[in-house]
Amino acid sequence: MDPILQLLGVKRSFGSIRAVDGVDLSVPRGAIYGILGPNGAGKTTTIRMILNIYIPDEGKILFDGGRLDRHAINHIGYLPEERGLYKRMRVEEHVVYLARLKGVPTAEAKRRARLWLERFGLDDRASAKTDELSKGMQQKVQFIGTVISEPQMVVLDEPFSGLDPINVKLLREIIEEIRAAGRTVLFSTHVMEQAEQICDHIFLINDGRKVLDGKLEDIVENYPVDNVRVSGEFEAQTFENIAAVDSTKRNGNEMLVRLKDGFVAQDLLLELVKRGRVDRFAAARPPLSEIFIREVERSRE
Amino acid sequence: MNKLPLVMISEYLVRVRSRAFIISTLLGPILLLAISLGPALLASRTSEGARTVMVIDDSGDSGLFTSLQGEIGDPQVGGERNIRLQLWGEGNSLDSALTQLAPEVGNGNYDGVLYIPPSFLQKGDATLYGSNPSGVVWADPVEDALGRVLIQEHLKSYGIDKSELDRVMMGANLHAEDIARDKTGKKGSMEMRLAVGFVLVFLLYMMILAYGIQSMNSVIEDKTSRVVEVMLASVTPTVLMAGKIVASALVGLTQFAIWGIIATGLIGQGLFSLPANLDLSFLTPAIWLAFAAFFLLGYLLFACLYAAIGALCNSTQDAQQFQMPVTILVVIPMLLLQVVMQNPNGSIAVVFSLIPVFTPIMMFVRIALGNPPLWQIILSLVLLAATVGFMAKVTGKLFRLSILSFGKSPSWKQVVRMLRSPE
Repeated sequence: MDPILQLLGVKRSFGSIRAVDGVDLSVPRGAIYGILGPNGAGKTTTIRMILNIYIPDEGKILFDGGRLDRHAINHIGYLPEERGLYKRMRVEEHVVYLARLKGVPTAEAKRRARLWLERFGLDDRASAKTDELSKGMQQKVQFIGTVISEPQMVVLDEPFSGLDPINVKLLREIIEEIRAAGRTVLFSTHVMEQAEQICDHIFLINDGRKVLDGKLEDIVENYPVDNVRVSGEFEAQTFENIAAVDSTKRNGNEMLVRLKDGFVAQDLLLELVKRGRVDRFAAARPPLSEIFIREVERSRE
Repeated sequence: MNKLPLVMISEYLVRVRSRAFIISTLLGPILLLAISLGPALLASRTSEGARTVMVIDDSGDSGLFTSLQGEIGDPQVGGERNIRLQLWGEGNSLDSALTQLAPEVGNGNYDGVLYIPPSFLQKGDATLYGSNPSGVVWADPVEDALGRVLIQEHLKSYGIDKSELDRVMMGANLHAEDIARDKTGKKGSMEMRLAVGFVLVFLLYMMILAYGIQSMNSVIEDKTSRVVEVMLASVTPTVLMAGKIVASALVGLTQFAIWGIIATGLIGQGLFSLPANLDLSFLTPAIWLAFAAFFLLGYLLFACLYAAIGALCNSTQDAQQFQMPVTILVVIPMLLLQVVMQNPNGSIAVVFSLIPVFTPIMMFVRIALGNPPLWQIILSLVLLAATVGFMAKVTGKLFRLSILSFGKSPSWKQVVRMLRSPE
């Protein structure tokens, strides 16, 4: 399928700092695409360029096959990491305003505002000023503001940071709905576990450069099942002198074992049962956070 | 679709509904009335505000105290001078009198002791004893009265009687009239023109300063509430900046309209009356047009600067270092007002009125009070308009580059670097 969003060799510097240094990215329509990387990797700068807030120094950004311009922006919803509301505006007025700014006609904006406020249990606060709301309610208003224009693509920058648990759940529901409607979600996070749970595609960025991108399944597929979690009755030295063991790490009352290349989990298990009692033994591909570290290391070499 | 009207309307509505707007709209006229009527009201409260001065008359002229009292006037009636004189009757030894009166002055029963020495009629020296230096200020009328008494006493010694004396002492008043007016015109039209012109200039100054700072605060508010990034995902920084600048001006004009309506209503109801000799005939459409043009351009010039300052900073405290030089530019013409009013076509007036940042106030003063050559007016407008265009570009760039920086506000050096950087 044709991509909804394409970045071609995009660069952006601030003074002498190269925030984004030649990024290519292709986001398929209907994907939940995660942009992952540590703080300062260039995620927010990339996202701001996608929203046309920053203009790339070099490279091109295409949205829905066309140039990313003021009109294209109307079809992209945005929830920035630093979220804010006009404190003196009333709740309903605020979401209607945000919808209007994305080109939704007034009557339609009002109709949608009422629906969304009702759905999030904010209908009785519609005429309250936003700074009279609790933090959690303000977060809900911000979500509504992001999706009320029913954009083709929603961009969420560190969307879960600072959210209360109820709103985390709510936001995940919204993300699911957007996907179900065939629209696209692009989000950035530095929490790899979240991305693993939600995304179907990922883009790893470090120091402004792409480390890895593609379908999450495919990326993980490429890694052998070499991560083993074991719990049972062992001495500390139980794991010494096992040919299959590359390294070990204690994590509470379980051991995290990384296997050497060329060995399978079974090799470890066979050896362990000879040496002690195994209660739990689980082998898996490495988690995304580890893949990220390995890929960054590899790209440095 | 153009989003500018949307931003403008929204910014305008939020501001006009705000408590700050409602309070300042209500308090404005009250404050203005208090400032204009307050001193008069205070001064008319004689018994409380009156100063009491004990006079030790050692001049040897028995009529001197009565004359002095006559010149000072009765505090109950005269009001303005507000000083009550009492004659010390217990011997004229200064030392013993001062010893007795010192505690009375200390506890406020008397505000001072005036000693008129025997040499007064020859040398004209008298002394006011008090417990604090404020006497220097409030005793001014006493000095005036003493001076007039001195003249009277001397003239009396030449045998001139009281009624002749009054004629001799009569003051003169100079009335300025417009030479171009026909004789049937009201008296004092030039004074009136000066007063009304001054009010308009002051209005212009206030509006430029107040609304300019308002657009700065509105930008800072968006930055502190972090709503600005959401906005920038929908509108360009230029639209946001323009929307705020226009909305701030509209908010200010709304306030003026409300005040105008209230004033007209009060005058219509007869609750408040304009001075009988008020002559507004010089407020021709041309004057209003000039006022509107200079307000518009002057406001745009400074509002752009203030909005860019708002974008550079994250709090009003941060903004102060940048705000100061800009505010000084607005204030300078006001400091030169006296000079320009005295000589609206003098070289200082001409030079300053052609420097774009000073043009709005300076040229308007000249138009209101003098008759500057048309070419100067047009030249000043052209220069000003060009400067506004240039400033809009420069400040727009600053705004775009700094609106999303939330860290420390930049140094002057960084601002210069920002201006030089390619976008």
